[in-house]
Amino acid sequence: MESEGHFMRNFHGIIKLFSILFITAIVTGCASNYRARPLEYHIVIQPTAGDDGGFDEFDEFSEFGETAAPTVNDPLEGYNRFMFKVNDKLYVWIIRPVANGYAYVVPEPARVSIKSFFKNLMFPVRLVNNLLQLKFKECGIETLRFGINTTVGIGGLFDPASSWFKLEPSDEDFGQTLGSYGVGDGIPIVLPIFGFSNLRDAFGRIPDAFLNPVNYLNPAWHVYAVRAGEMVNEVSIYSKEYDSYKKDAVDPYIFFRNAYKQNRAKKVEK
Amino acid sequence: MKTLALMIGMCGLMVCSRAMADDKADVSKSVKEVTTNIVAILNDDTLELDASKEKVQVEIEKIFDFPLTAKLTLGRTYWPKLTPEQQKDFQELFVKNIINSYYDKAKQFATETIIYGDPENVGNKIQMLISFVSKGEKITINNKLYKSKTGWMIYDMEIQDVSIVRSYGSQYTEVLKNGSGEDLLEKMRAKLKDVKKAEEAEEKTDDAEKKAEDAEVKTEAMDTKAE
Repeated sequence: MESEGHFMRNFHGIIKLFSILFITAIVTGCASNYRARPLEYHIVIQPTAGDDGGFDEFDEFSEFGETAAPTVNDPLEGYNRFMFKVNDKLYVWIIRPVANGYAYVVPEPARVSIKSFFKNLMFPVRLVNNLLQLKFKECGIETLRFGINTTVGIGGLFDPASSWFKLEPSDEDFGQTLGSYGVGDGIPIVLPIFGFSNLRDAFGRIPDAFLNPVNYLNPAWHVYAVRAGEMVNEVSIYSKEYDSYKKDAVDPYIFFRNAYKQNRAKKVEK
Repeated sequence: MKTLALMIGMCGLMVCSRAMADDKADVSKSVKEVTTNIVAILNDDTLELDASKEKVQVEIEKIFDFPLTAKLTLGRTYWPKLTPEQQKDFQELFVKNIINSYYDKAKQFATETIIYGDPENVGNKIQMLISFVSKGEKITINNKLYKSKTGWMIYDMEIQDVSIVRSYGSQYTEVLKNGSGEDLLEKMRAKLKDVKKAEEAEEKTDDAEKKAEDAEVKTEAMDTKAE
């Protein structure tokens, strides 16, 4: 059958892609810079007068290494800082005002439902990536969640799978799949509009895009409209958080770069 | 002889695990207590903003070892770069900055139901998860505690898997890489000033709004009288 052939071709394509990446991962795995390895600092420290006792504490808390935030290799820092500023201006002058207007008209529970709808729609991404990471139990749970939320949760607008059945989502994407096979995150890259990412995760968006049903809408401008709508909806829910983190940080760029890295590292672990 | 040794061993194990169980119970109790108290303070509308922040600080300092956390953000490499004077200032500014940062966020979540996880032993430390649901998403806060001379204290919190020590550490050490300790302290003081200014501006707009409302109510009352 035609559709089967199409599916098989896609499937083979994904397997091919994956095996190429797997080999690349093994080769570049050594270059990964965010594995829990102790840092190799050979600094001779002159203890300040009267503070000798303090160094015991650093031994106790060796989980943080020699310095709580190891140097990040950020060769694109110039570009990244620039794009970060551009995104911020875009956010402050266009996206946030639109989101605020939208929030004024649409009550929050409805917007949370819309967010839930889009999250439900991304089921294929989660399913495939859980599968690729051999997380079979999570595949089962995700399938169950999709079934429950689409039916009982009225097309994904609600999430009874979490609230009633206590089925936790397993949020996986291709960047995490690569990470779980040892691909280091490479270097930080700030993407236009999408914001912080890194070499591995930015690349990982491509295979995931094939699994996102929204991208198959016809004509093409529908896709952009829906994606833009999804972003405005998301921003309308989280704008206060973004603003407060930006306001509190001594250096917002560093803060978001570090937070993104930490967050992704933890997600890859899971 | 063997059985005696075995029995002593078993007793030792029981005492040990009992001690661990006691520790976990202590941690669970104190975390729950402090959290409940803080939520009560946040929900108390009669308090002024500054008074509220101070009360929260006093409450959380019972269980959060801020001076240690501040030290850990700089780490072995950068902590000695500050003079003892600067170290003290740094620790004080750190506490104030954290309270300012997280006060607003905490206030948003003060009305949600909090789910307490069970404390778990991780090495010689204990970790305990607190979570709540907000806007359809689960927010998790992982408290990491160590045994200090005064009991179990928090030295780091991972909010949505982002550690306070690491995220502040990354910013502070970036400043110290290219500047001095004094530069860092200046930046932190500047942050506090900005927050103060923003708060005062908000209060002014709130007052102005209230005045406008009162004026409206007055004119309405006068209109009804005239009728």
